[in-house]
Amino acid sequence: MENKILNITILLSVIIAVIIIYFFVSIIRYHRRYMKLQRERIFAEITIRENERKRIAADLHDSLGPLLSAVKLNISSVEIPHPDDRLVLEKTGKYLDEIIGSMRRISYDLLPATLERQGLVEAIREFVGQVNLKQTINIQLYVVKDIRVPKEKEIHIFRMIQEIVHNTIKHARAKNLQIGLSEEAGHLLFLSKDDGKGFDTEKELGRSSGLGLKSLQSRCEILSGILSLESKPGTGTNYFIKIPVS
Amino acid sequence: MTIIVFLISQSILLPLIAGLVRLRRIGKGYQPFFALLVIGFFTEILSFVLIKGYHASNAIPINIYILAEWTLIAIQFHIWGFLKQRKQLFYVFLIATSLVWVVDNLFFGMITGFSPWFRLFYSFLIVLLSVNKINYMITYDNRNLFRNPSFLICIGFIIYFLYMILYRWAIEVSAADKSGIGYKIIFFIAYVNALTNSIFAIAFLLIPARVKFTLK
Repeated sequence: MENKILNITILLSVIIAVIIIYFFVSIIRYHRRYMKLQRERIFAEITIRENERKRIAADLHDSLGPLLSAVKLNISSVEIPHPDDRLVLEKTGKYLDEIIGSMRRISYDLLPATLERQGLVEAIREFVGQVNLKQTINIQLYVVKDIRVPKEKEIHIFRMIQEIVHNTIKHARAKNLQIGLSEEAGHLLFLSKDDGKGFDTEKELGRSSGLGLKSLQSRCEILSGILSLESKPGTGTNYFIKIPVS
Repeated sequence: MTIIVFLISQSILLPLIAGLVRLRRIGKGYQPFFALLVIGFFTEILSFVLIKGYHASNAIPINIYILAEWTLIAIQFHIWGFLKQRKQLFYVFLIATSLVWVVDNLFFGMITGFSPWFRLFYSFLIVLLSVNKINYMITYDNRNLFRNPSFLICIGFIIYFLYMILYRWAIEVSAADKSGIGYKIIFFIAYVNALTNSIFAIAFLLIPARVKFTLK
């Protein structure tokens, strides 16, 4: 009788243990599925937004741009005898140049044509060159190896680098920014280092208004990458990003 | 004490009345569960008649009832999403698990007795299905879970069937010691039954009204 009680007690314990283990396994499984679903949702949302930007950029660059250039050409070809009228026409030509310039800038901000045509590294080089020309910051770009990134990931990596450079210009008050790019074992490695004022990372990441850093994290997450941020007030900021690209 | 015991034994009326009140609201989503309560109620009456009226054992109706109970609860979970996309696999699962009943009751001739094996087996499965459903709702459902009828029903199932597993253990233990813990666990099942029936009644009352769409 005692043996029977012992056996049935062991059976009862095993059943309860299986139920408890199943509880944890099941909740972890659902949580993983949920996280995957969330990542897919964010990826879909960002991709839709990027496609929309691409369409608008293409419309501006390919449709409006040539039209405005044609208008400019037509205006320049008109012979006007009266000097006052000629002045008005010259002014109009200058306005048109400004419009074309602004339109190109907007089109570039929406999506750099270089990224589509020549790939990520060239687009970054172009972007860094433009920032060096317009801003007081000195950016040095080091591309250690030939980097090959899948087309669908290029835009996200480019946006992340854009965000880091913008953050450095806007908040860090840095004079120098060094950016290094490399590829190792099927992973893109990105490292940036500035000599700015730095910040308290925990405080900034905890703030709900810090959209820039959150956007970096979201993009890194959807690319299944790792984002590491090192900063302290007065010591500059280092970003390290590792993204699988094979 | 007698009145309390009598009232507790009639606790199945609580969800049954709540279900009848909300009968129009009960769509496909809760029909198997409501059918289970109706069958449970009639089995209780039949058992009472057999024992008190004919002094006969209620083992056969109870054994048939537990097969119906398992089948209806499995269908209920299927409606809630368990193997929903794999209907054939679900039917295989249902038939395979019911075969345990066939072997236990017909092959070993236990239909005239109270064999614990199928009871243990299906109670265990129901607890796992309920845990799975609850975890799914915790992860994906953003609404207040304590106002969600499926969540409450699953909680009721976990309480009741986990206690049933303990109850089976207690029956074996009480054979050796009539005044010990096993006996108390057996006695306490009436209260657990009343508690779960109250939870089921609340769940029925919380079933939302069906939304009718019209193009008029």
